[in-house]
Amino acid sequence: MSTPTSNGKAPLSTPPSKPVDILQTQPSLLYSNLHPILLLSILLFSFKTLVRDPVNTLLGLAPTVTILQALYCVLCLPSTNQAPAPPQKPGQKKKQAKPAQDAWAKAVPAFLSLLLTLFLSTPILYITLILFGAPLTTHQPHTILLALHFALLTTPQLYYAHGLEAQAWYKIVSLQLPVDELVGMSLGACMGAWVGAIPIPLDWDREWQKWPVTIVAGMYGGAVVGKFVGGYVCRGWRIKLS
Amino acid sequence: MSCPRSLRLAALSLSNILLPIAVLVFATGFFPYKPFLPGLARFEDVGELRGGKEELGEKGGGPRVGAGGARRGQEEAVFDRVVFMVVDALRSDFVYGEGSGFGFTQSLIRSGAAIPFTAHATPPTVTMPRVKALTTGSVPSFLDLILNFAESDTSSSLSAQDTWLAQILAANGSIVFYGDDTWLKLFPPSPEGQPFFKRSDGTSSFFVSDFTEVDNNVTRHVPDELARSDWNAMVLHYLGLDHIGHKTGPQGPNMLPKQREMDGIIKMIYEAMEGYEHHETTLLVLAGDHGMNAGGNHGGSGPGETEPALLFASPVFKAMEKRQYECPTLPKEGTEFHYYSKVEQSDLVPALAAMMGMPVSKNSLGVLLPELTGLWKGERRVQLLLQNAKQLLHIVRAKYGGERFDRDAESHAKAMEEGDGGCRGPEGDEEKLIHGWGEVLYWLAQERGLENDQLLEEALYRFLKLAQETMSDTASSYDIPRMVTGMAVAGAALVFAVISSPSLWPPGIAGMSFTLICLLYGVMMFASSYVEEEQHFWYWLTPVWVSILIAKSLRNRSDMTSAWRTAAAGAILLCSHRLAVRWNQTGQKHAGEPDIVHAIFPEHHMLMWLLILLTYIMNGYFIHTRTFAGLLIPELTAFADVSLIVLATVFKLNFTQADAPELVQGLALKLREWSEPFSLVVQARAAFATMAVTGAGVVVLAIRQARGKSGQKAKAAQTSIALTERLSHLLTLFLMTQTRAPNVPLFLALETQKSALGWLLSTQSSSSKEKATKPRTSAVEAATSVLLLSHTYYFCMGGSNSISSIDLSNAYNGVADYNIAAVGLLLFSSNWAGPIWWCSAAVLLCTQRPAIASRKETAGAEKDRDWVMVEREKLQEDAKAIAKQANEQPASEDPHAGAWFVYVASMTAFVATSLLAVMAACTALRTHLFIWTVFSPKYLYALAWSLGWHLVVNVGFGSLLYQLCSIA
Ligand SMILES: [Zn+2]
Ligand SMILES: [Zn+2]
Repeated sequence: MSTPTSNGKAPLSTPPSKPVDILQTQPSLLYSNLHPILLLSILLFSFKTLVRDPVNTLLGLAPTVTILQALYCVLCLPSTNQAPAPPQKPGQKKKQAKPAQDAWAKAVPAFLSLLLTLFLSTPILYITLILFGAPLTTHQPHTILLALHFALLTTPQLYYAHGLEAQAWYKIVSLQLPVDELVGMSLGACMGAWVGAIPIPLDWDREWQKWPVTIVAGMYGGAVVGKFVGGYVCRGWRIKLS
Repeated sequence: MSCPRSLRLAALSLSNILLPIAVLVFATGFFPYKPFLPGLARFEDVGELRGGKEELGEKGGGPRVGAGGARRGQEEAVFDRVVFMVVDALRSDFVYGEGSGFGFTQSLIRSGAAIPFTAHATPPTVTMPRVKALTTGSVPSFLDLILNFAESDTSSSLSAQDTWLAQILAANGSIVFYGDDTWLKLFPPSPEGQPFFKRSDGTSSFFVSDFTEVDNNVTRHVPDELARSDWNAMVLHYLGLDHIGHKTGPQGPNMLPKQREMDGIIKMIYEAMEGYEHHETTLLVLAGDHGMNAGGNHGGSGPGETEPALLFASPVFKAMEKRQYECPTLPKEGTEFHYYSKVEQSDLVPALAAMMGMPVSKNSLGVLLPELTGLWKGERRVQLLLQNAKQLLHIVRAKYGGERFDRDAESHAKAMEEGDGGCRGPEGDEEKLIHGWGEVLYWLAQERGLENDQLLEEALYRFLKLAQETMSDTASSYDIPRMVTGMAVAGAALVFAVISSPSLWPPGIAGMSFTLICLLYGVMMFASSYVEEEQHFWYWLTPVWVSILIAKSLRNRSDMTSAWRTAAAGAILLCSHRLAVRWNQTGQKHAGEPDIVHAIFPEHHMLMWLLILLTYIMNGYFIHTRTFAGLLIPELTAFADVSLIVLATVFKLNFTQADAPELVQGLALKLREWSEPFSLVVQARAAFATMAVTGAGVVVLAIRQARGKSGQKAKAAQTSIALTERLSHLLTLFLMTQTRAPNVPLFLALETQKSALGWLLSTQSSSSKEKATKPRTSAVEAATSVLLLSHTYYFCMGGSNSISSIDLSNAYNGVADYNIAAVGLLLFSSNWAGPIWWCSAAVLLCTQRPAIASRKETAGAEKDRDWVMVEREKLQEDAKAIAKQANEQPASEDPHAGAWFVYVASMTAFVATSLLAVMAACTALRTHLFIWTVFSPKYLYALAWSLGWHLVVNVGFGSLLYQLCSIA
């Protein structure tokens, strides 16, 4: 676990932040509810092939999940102000922004979030998975793809909503953000992946006990449950660690 | 929710007193009681078995077995000499399978001169209980395993028991013995000084790296002994094959040559049997005491461990009518090691007795092997079976009460006589046995004749098998009320432990995690695969707990620098954890798969020794700068330090050369030559003595220094180091001596993890005074961390829940003659080195104190120094200050005094939960297939964890260390 923050002696205490609100437009509400269903159903539909051939299945699913996550960011989430925004001309005024420009203003941060997910989160989460006990000398493509899916489920929405700012990520890593959909989904995926490791050592001799099927299943299930719990049940809660 | 302190102390003490009581009460109910019949069996015993028997016999046409049995037994003996050759860990496929080295033996099987069996060895599959089974015919239980380690020389002996060897001596025979000195311990000289064996030469199985000497030492006596005729039994016990198994596994490069060597000895003996006149009626028995698993180890009942070969050979068998045996052959379908008939190891005893014309040993549960009955004609065969049945009947009657059993059996026979048919499906073991014996009585009373004899034989076999099964089946002899009582006591211990915890509500994250660990662990005990693979549980929990600590620690950091430190500490903890986890592959499912110790170190032994050296140098550095700090003049300090480290390192090197030469490979030849004149025992004693003297010296000097400086407390707190910290580095050195060489570098990981953990657990408070008086470390957090890491290191050092993973190699360091207390201590400290180390680390963590603002500045000033070192220094200063404070202030007001109390209370709660869960699992699953293979070994381990690690190490040793903190 490392924090993508800039070095320095900046004080870390800042006023408490608020939970992220979903955009209140018709399409965003619709997609916000559709999103977990889609995530679960692609896993359910491809479960058999996942058991048979994990590497190719995970590889094949990755673009779909990427699109689902990108749509979620663009349609449902408010973009962060601090996010590396598209170069805007100083004279341009926001009021006059046309729908096309508005879409552009959303698509670029979403794209950047996905880039960061691919090139920053995936390696970091790969290392994390190894540290948490994923095989190092064998199953490398499995674990790399697992890290990719893990990153896709947990981080694009956080990059999109909170940007790359040190303060925000310090809060994310130390679990100081108030609980909302995004935090719930990310934490849920982490816990699901962790819980997914339980059946592996059991002597049931089932095909699906092999690496990394149960972790993937736990991750997706955890993300969906976490999103629901974070968005509805525990919204606004603060995680206590004392 | 806080009781007065004295009440909580009482509850905690009571809880810890209840723990051993629970363990013992449950053990007496769980480990079955076996009726034991004293004295030697005589033919008369089976003759005068029952008053009514003679009448029944006469009706059938004269007594079948009577007082004249002894004479007739000896007259009708088929053999008068036996060569009993035990090859340790001789698994069935080594002899009977394809690609075996036993070419000559296989030709004997094909020619009909040898009768092959696969003998079932009941767990524990370690040598001493197996030798007991092979000689007495009884089934030693897991209780014998504890006794195996705990027995003094006299109580373990079989001299008071009835064995086939004792029967040979009773018939004025004599026995010679060569091989594993376990036999010499089991059969010591009589109190009058009369040796049990006429001639003997024992070899010790001290170093498993010895593949050749142990066996040559036996073989060199064999030709001489074969030429002589003054013995009736020659026992040979070869150890080399077992050693090869332990070192390189069953597929090792030395395995096949060793099998050929053993085959050559069989050839030599067999040819002597054909050549010498006095060997005309000599029997050769080849037996493995147990098998080995895929990793070459044994102890439990994994595949292969319980399936040794058993083979009878003599030219006499060629004339016996029997089936033809193919050899080499394949195991029975669906099995790996089940060749030919599978029999019990105890069946050897009645077979030997019958063939040599002796009474069957009293406590034998063996059944005369049907494959061998071709040696006798009809009438004699019935007599032998009857002799066997009556001997077993003695044991049955001892268990169920003689009078009633006889009466019921007779009435059953009467009922059959009256044409009742008798049986309405007997229920329960006792009733089945009564019916079985009743049938025998019925057929005994019938007219003799070919057909009736046949039916009598069948009835006898039915009874024999049933009696064997029932009497070896331990399920029938559980004492459920006692087991339930044990559980109730453990439950009470848990309740008291919970009551003693000072702050239960509201539960913090640490308290919830600790409770969750306890609950999950309890549930896990019911899944056999998780008991076998327990390491996954700890490996799986530890990183998550570390992550929680990181997140929590990040919140408490007010500036970027310390936030980065937290991240670094977390990374160190996680990386060390991941590395340690791969150090030794453990568990059952993936046993023998590559790991650092077995795949990397044999090829890169230089790397290993560099790491080991680095570890010793690190320890020497700490001893120099911490243990001796401010106590002695520098010259003396350097001298003491160097002698400590050199003695320990030289011993480690020489011990490894003897124990695992493949890891030394001619390294440091000069050093080894120089230390050659001193035996390993002397070297170990020198190392231990230096440590003990240093420890005592440090205690005395530190206390004196503390007394002298008591006036200037503040200054002392800044410059000196707590006594606990001083001693902890000596403890590390001791534990390193007790650890196998490849595991020594793990102490590097231990030290770094402790420092990192110290940082994560410390709460940095800004500067306010009220925070400074709060304990720096949450004791529950410390307890959770130490619990996780203790178990992690237990497993990553190669430990498991299987008996076969107990490492005996360091149990005899510096012990010349068997000394139960010393061996027990050394055995425990070598197998629990990691958990013991963490206990002393827990004391240091519990005496940490909050960093106050001024400290933070010092830390900033020393920025270029390793932050870990800075942290470490702070830690010790605090420890002393806290302990002092604890001593001076009234207990009720001092927040730190409770830290160790909370730690012990938490550990007690965990141990009580785990004991309760293991007991409940053993009770609920007592008829489970795996009860003797998985759950009872787990119970023994739970016993070791709770009594050894918790009571002795945590409660005893840890509390002592904690007290030392306040003295100096
Ligand atoms: Zn053995
Ligand atoms: Zn062995």
